[in-house]
Amino acid sequence: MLNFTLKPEPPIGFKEKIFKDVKLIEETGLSIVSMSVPKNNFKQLEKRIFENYKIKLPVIGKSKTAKLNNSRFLALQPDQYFIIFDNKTNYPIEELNKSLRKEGYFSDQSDSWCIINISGKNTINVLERICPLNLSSDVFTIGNVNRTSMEHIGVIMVRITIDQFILLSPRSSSSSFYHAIVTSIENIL
Amino acid sequence: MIIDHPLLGPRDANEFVYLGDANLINRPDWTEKDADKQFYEYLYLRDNPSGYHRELWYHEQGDRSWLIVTRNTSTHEIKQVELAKDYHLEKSKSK
Repeated sequence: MLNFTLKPEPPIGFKEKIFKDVKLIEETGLSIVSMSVPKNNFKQLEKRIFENYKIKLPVIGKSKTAKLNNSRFLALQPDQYFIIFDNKTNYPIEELNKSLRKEGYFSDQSDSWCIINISGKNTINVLERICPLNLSSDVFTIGNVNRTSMEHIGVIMVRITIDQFILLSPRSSSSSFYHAIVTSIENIL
Repeated sequence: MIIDHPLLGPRDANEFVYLGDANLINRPDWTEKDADKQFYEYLYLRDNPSGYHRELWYHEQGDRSWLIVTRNTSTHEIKQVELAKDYHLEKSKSK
């Protein structure tokens, strides 16, 4: 039997960086699970979610938060959601199935994404240089979520407050993604 | 160029991948008598109009949906955007 345990490593590993008016935090310790709705099972799944999380599933392009495990539901495309939540186990799908009892199709994506939390007065100035979305607060409102690209890298972005966003990008290109954001920050400082 | 996505609103064309003539959806029935001829036309013969053209775009950096975009190939003006799924379902109903 092996006498060592594996130690989890964050995708980028910078923890927190503060530039002049922009703060970056690498979010770790969260589980990311994609949820697909089985054919003709939307109502049952929605019911189960309402019973456990006390929310209705968001419409496409919106996100919702729930108290249970600090969960955040992102509606990304028809019948496809991401659930991001606090989880200390290595088995996020089992955790979800405690409440949702296999009403949806789940796929653990926790190790496939890096999550960067960007905030501060200059956040919009940083993001609008590299992101084609219209980020004005009356178009991309608080709670909105969208997939898009930054410097040709796929990104899922969620607006948390007027000047705070969560950015998810594939782990395999996370260093390039981080580099793109830092370069944009340096360009406006 | 901005494509007004039916579900997500106006999105930059950079997020999309262009496939081509939307007629690709209308795949011929292989059981038809003249299936050979129909498949030849389906695969190799394309209209290349200067003006409005219905074409398929894939929202790769978005919600991964297929869209049918009616675009003026001379001016890039976009007249109509619809979900390919809706078009296909409507077509299946009318059969």
